[in-house]
Amino acid sequence: MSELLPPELLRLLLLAAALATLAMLVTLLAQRTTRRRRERRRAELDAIHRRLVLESTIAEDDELPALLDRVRGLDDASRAHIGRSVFMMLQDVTGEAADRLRQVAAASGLAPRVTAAARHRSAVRRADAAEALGRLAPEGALELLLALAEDRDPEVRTVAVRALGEFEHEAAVARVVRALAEDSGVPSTVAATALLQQGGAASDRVRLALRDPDAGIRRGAARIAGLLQVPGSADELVALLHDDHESVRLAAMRSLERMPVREALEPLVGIALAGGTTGEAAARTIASMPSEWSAPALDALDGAEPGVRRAAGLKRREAAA
Amino acid sequence: MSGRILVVDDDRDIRDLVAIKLESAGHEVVTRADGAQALEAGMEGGWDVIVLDVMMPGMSGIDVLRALRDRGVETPVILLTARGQEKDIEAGFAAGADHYVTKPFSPRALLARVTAALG
Repeated sequence: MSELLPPELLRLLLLAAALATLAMLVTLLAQRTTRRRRERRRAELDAIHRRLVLESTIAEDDELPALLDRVRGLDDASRAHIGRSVFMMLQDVTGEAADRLRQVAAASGLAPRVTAAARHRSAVRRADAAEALGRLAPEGALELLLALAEDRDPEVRTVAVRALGEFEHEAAVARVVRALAEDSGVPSTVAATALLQQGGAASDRVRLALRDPDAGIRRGAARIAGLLQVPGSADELVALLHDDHESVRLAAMRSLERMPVREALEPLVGIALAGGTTGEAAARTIASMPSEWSAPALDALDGAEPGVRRAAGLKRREAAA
Repeated sequence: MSGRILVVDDDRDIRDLVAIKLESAGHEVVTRADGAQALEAGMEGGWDVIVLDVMMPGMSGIDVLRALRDRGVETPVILLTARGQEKDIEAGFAAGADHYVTKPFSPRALLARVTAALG
């Protein structure tokens, strides 16, 4: 049978528990009050300054300097609020309106804060800074993003590579291509999307990457080459049909569907006749090519396995008979 | 040529950015924040163009468009779709959309689309 605690100790314990509960309630209440006050303050600032930010997107060239001067003349809290608003809006717009918003961001003093955050010891802050650098593109953003793309934290590297998609500079393209490497720690889809964003500016690097020793880079480049319709990449894509890595061969086939090349037909028939999922992919690529080229190749698939015939759009043998 | 434009998007920033751009070009703009409100406004009629976001909670832009077309509303509709959502574009045209603009978008390019839709 257990002994009861002394009454004095029990009272002390009860008192401590009550005080702890009270402290928690007070903290909770204080947090809520602070949050509400902050939200109210933001709503007030929004009501005052939102129109100014929106007007900047439609301002004529000769109206903009006065508008930017108005932003520069505001107090710190207002300029910080405007910086936040602009940052959010930049997510949605491109073109002239985005350029104008970037100028407002610069006038609000957001750029120095973002630049400082790029060197913050917290990885979360560095990742946020990378995103902001891509969106705001202040002076020196490219150099900072190139540095963040080498960050020790893979999340930061990923965000930086995504943000580099906003830049068409050769150094940005080269870094994004390197992010396709298997050991880069950056998801290949992120690097591929950034290259698509860079568009024509990435063409030359993507074509060169088709011969890269790293299979991940070859695979990514092979996929992007077709999406970007990279000039002069056809021969390289045909060569990649014999790559040691199946995923590279498959990526080359996908691109050849978008960029049909007659010279690809012979190796594709060979791959298709070997069967399997790669054979089926080859058959699909053959079927996607202009019919005046593909007809003899499709005839050659007559004896292929059923899955390959189906992928090529051929009738079942018994139905054909 | 000015027109009466209905702009529907659940994102306030986009609604306001589109509205201020269209208003600056002399159009009368009314905004709505969700699909149900959009359908109600669309059925009231009197619109020259409807700018409709596809991805909205509850009733999507495609649902709204389909419902409007089913009820005989033939107002030109420009869809706002997210980049990379080609399926939305296909579904939008199948439901009766006239044009589409992908987000992030250029307000200037959207205005050009609206002007073209006004004929």
